Amino acid sequence: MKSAEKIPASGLRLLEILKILTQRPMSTDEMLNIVEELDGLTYRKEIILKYLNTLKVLGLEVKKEKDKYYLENGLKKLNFDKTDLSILLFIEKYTNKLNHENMKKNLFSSLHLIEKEFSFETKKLLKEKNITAYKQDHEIIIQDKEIKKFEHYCQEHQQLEIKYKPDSKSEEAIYKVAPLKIIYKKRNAVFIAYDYKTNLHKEFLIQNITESKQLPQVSTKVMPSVVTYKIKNRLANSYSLKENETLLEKGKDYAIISNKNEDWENLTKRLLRYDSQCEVLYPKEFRDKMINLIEEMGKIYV
Amino acid sequence: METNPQKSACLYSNISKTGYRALFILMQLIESPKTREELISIATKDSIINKGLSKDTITNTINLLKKAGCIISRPTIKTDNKYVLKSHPFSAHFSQNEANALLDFRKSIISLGDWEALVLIDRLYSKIAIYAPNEEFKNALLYNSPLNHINHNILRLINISKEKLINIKYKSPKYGSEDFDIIPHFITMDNEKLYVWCYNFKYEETSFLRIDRILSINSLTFDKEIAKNKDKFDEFQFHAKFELKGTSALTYIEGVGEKIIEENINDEYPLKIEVLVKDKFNFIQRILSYGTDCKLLEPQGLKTELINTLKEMKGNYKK
Repeated sequence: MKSAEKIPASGLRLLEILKILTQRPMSTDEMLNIVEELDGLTYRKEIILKYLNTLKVLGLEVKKEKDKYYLENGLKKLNFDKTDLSILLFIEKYTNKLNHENMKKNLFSSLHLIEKEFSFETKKLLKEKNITAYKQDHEIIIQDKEIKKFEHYCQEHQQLEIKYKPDSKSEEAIYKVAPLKIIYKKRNAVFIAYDYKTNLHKEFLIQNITESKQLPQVSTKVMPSVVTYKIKNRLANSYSLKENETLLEKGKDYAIISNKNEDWENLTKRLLRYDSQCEVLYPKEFRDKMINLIEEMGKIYV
Repeated sequence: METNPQKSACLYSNISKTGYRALFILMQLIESPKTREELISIATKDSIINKGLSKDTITNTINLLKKAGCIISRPTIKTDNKYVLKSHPFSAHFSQNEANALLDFRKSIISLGDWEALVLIDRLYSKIAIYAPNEEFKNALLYNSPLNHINHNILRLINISKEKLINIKYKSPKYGSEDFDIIPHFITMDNEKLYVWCYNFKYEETSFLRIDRILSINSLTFDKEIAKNKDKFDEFQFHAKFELKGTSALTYIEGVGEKIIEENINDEYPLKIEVLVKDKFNFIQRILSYGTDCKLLEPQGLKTELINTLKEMKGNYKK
């Protein structure tokens, strides 16, 4: 006979309320509904106030705003030292500079959640010590002025036509693309899209996109683009696969790697670093591109 | 702040005793695993519970917490007879979008090569990973960093041993495990790998060693003078100049020992950069990675080496 199976109902009701309060604010009526649904009985509102009171006695800060109760702090206590707080302030400072609405909103709400979980000691440390944000060697300047437009493109999934001029000396090129996502690279906003003409993933520096317009067609499913390359000797033994790579074959002094969906311009630059230790195998277009590039680089010094 | 004794008494009397007890025990287990006896002892000292709890009451309370969604392991010899709280549902979590934003933020810092910021971000993320919406995001916050394979104790020791003589065990891709003396000078992050730039006594040259390949620090010599007399780090460095254009110029960030010496957006190559080269091999790798966006100007000897490397690379494809 399991005597340990006795479950105090009042305790369970309180825990259920706490479980939901940690996720979102709730009115007394909503809480009452929860406890009534739990055991099919009817209760008076006072019972909710009793439960909220219990939480307060335990040190949880229960606050009320517009008829809804919420928790100002949680059960988990984050104990941060000065270094943690310093990098947290840096993230906040960095986030403030972003124009990417979604990323900014999500980073700020993450920071808010973290702050709510601070232990008493962490709060005290933040209040009493003069903690400054981690400082980078260079001032935080982020190039992302036009980002909002591209953020909307990514959410709306319509095909796009963009005009792109990689730098002031280059010819402007027109691309028909499926918008995928926006990332930040070296403090520049980069628009990642699928180019329908080449069937490749491509990265565009947003500051270099001179014109963009949505097309009536919905973005179709993108095809994965794969590049296979061989690395040799020491490089083969020390190479660490990237997030988007798989090892196809490994020999004593070589390795064959499959790379998926990387921007060809970026991949080319990375593979060039590996000099003669690397050979592109597939597809032919990328192999030819690599050969041409090596020839063009040679011509610079003729 | 003075408390109103009447109000206080009212606050403490109008509570759910079983609920209070359950949360009180949960809070104790959040702090650290505890035996039943330890929980009874702590509860006795609490001003609200204020009495010795029976073993059955503890068991019932643990069951209540489990029913509410806590995962608590049974006390066993392996856990020193302690209840171990594995997880509980009374905590806010990041949404998937919030967790993704944190991961994207880290990637943007990785692209900057700021390894010191990355070390601190990884440390912070290891503490906040408990708020991940699921195991996949938890693992991503914990491990999706290029510094994941770094032994942080070794990194710390190297960082405090700048310009001091140390002996290390290094796993070389060419020679296997070997011990040698080095004098570290600085650390950089390149292509998502962390390197220590140092004078290498064994090969009598400047080396840049991957920190994740340093297996241990065998000894440290804290006397800076000893290192100073033997250090030939600066002897192998030389100046080079190169020009950049295109995206490489737009996204260029000055690294250690380099500076922009000319900037003119109307020139074919808008940026001219002077760099103090510490390691020839690493520098040629970098020049190659810029592709046709870069033109090496000097020294002439290095230009010749670069041309020969390009010929070798071309030869790779003529089979």
